[in-house]
Amino acid sequence: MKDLLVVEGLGKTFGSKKFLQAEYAVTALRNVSFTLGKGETVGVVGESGCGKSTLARCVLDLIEPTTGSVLFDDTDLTKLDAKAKRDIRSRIQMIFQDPYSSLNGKRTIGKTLAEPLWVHEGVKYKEALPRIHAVLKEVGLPVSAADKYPHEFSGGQRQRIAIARALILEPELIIADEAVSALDVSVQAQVLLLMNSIQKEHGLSYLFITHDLGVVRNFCDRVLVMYLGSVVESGPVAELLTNPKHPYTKSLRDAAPIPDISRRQSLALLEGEIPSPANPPSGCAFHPRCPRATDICRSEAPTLQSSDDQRMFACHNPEP
Amino acid sequence: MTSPLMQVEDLSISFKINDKWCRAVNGVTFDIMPNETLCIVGESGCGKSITAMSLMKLLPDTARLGGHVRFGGQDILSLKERELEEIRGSRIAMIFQEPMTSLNPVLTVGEQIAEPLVLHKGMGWSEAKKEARNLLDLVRIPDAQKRLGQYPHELSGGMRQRVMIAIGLACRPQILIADEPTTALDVTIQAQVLALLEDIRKEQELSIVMITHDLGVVANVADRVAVMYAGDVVETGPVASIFDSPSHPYTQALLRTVPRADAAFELSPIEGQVPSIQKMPEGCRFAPRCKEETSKCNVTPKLSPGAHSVACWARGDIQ
Amino acid sequence: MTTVDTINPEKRSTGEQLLRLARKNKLSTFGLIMFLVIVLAAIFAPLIAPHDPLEQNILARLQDRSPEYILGTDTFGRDTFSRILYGLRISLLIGLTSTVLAMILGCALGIIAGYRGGWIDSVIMRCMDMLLAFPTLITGLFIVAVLGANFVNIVLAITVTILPKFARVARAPTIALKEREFVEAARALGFSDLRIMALHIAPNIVGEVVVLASLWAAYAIRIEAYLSFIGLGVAPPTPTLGTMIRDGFEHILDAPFVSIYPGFAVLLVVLSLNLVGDGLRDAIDPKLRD
Repeated sequence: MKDLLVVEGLGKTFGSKKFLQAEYAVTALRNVSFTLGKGETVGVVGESGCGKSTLARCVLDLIEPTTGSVLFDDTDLTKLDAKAKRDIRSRIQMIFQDPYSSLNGKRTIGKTLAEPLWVHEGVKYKEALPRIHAVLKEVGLPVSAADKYPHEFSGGQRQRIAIARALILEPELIIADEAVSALDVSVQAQVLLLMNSIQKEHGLSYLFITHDLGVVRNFCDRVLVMYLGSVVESGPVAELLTNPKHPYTKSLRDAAPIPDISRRQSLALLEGEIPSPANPPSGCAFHPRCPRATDICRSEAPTLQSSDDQRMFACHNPEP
Repeated sequence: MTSPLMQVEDLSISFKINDKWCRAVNGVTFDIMPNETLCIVGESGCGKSITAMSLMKLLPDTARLGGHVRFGGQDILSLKERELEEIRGSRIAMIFQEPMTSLNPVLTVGEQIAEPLVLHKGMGWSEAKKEARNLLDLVRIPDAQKRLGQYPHELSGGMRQRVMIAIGLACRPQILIADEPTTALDVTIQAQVLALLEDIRKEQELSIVMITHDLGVVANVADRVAVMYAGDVVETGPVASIFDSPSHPYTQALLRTVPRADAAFELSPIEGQVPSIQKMPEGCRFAPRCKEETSKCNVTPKLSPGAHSVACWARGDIQ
Repeated sequence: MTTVDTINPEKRSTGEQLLRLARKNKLSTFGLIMFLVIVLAAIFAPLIAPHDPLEQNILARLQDRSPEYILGTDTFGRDTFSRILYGLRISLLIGLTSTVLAMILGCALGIIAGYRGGWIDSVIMRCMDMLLAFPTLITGLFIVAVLGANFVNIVLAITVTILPKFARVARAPTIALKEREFVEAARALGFSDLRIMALHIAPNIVGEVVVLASLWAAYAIRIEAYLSFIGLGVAPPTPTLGTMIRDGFEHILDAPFVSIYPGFAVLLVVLSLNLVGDGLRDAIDPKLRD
């Protein structure tokens, strides 16, 4: 299988060198590499400050990465000029977390869906209508939705509209940034199933950013676990969650509350707070909270190593 | 058998929207027992938050309240504002979802914890500050003395929520109402805060009413559960019984929609939407989305008697 | 409260919304009607005016109100009422043109500054600050004095003096909107910056800006009157309200009405616009809406 997306050594440092202001630099993303095949779903999971949203925005070039390359269908996105970048955006789309703020409240749904067609293909609203109606039906909304405004819809319906907007240009890759996190669970399941069936229909790939391991387990093929800007572990979902190698993956899994009374009292406690990316700990970024930390963890950052052809982890003292 | 600390009886809350009264909470009944965690669980729009607010009568004047909230021989809903102020924060306390916006950004942590002590317990400021230090130790904030002088923005989200809990506990309340206390937190921090609340409840012998949308949280902290849907309590009972043998079609369906980290399974969503408050269906409000709808469902079902009770016409022994 | 999120307000047409507003805010409705009456009077001045505004009648100099001259006459025996009607035309035209121009240019600058940020923001906003640092009248005076007093230059002068206010008002919400996901979504869809600024950000701030436009239109009309009053207005004998007030000033003790009536006209225009502006602000502020 040929890879649709190849990310190599991606890094992002936010900094400021303003007149009369203190200089600062925050490394939000550190040397991230991964591949995404056609029709595959890769999850990126982690807590706040782990760099997962920065990663999504760097891949789409909404933020310019400091180092590394993003190869999409053999084209390096980081080396394109502004015009070519905008053109390639019809092939990569994004769905955002908050369905209340990701739609422009002053435009009807039809206009919102027609705009990308006009910008990228020069299709006028009247000619675009059949395609708008088709995509609305595909996401399970009535055709009449085209004449309404976002505020007339519930959160779940708005997220369907956001999916329709991402889908209308028939992209090959959709980046979903916490796309179901703001939804109620019953609606969340609806949207996940919808995204699944769309994937089967169109052969899409998803890069799925989330903090919810439950969603990852049920929706993704492979997963990257991130902590403070770095990938600490990656691999196929089921294997990685049943037998995590990195202590952080294990803690994350055990801290996620499961609606099952027999699993009660097992919320494993991870001590301490997530460090600030502006002031990361020495050595392995996880060592101050890690139950398995030794001297080497405090001085030397571990590199990603592979245990077999699929799994990678960055830890000096991996779980057995 | 111990008697309940608080009894909520046929509580209803209505708001006027476009000149029409809409019932956001539709005759809710439950008890809060001493020294227990009661979880009120439901999706957005089910009325769980305003139910919690009404336990302290913290609702805008535009809300029309019905029913009773009995606490310490009084009916909270019939008390005057002055009498309520004596109860709020001192005998019943509340913590909120967003610890950043519920703390005052221009006051130090110490001042904010000390304030209710000065107000309700009549302590002097220096005595109150000393007590604030103890409270920070109680919620396990390291470096308590230093934290007292800090401002909310200098603390992380988890620390701020601990400060909120400390403020809530300052006057040793009998009931702590926690409205989605961990929703804004990262999962490893959420686990810490939940464990903290559980330990404090045992140490201080208080009752916690936890409002949440997360069934995982419920399974891990609740003693008893009330499941709400569109303004009704549809099922209530001990936590083990609710999760092992859920009875109401909504509870059953809800449990099948939660993606779990420990196993992959076929998610089966509940079709349709939570009804809008202005267009509530007649009778059982879940009926339009229910797979077991019967001909009786156009009449509102009552909760069946017993420890584990359910309000559903398709579940036999109820009226 | 969670419940409020799920309430979908029934959609009302703009007309219905205006009607509801009118019922709630009677004072602003009054202001709006007053303003419309003034505008109509100015437009139809040739039909309403009983005299030619330039026609002099030496025999009827400085007369007070009479059936012949409703609001009296000035030094040259010209009919004050007719002159006010024609003066309103010039004053309104100058005031409204410069406000609209300032609104468009100021918002464009403000949106660009807020959206782009960085040095572009610094350059634009420091220029605006410089303009704001001078008293409005001085800036206007300077421009008219250098370029000469004619219609175009006066419009230009007033535009420049109120433009920075619009730029500031447009910049702040732009910075907030820039962080909203729908703007990021538009970028993710490959829309150009120009398109995002013009079609996605501008419509979202137009409400706030229009409120201020109505208040500053009143201000613009006042500036026009000031400039005319100190002799830097449109050249005589064309009547403007400011010139009329100045002309009457020589006789302020023996025939005060010559200045007072045009002054009163300025007052009415400014008052009506301010009332409309207050009403619009209440209508747009979501905290005051039901």
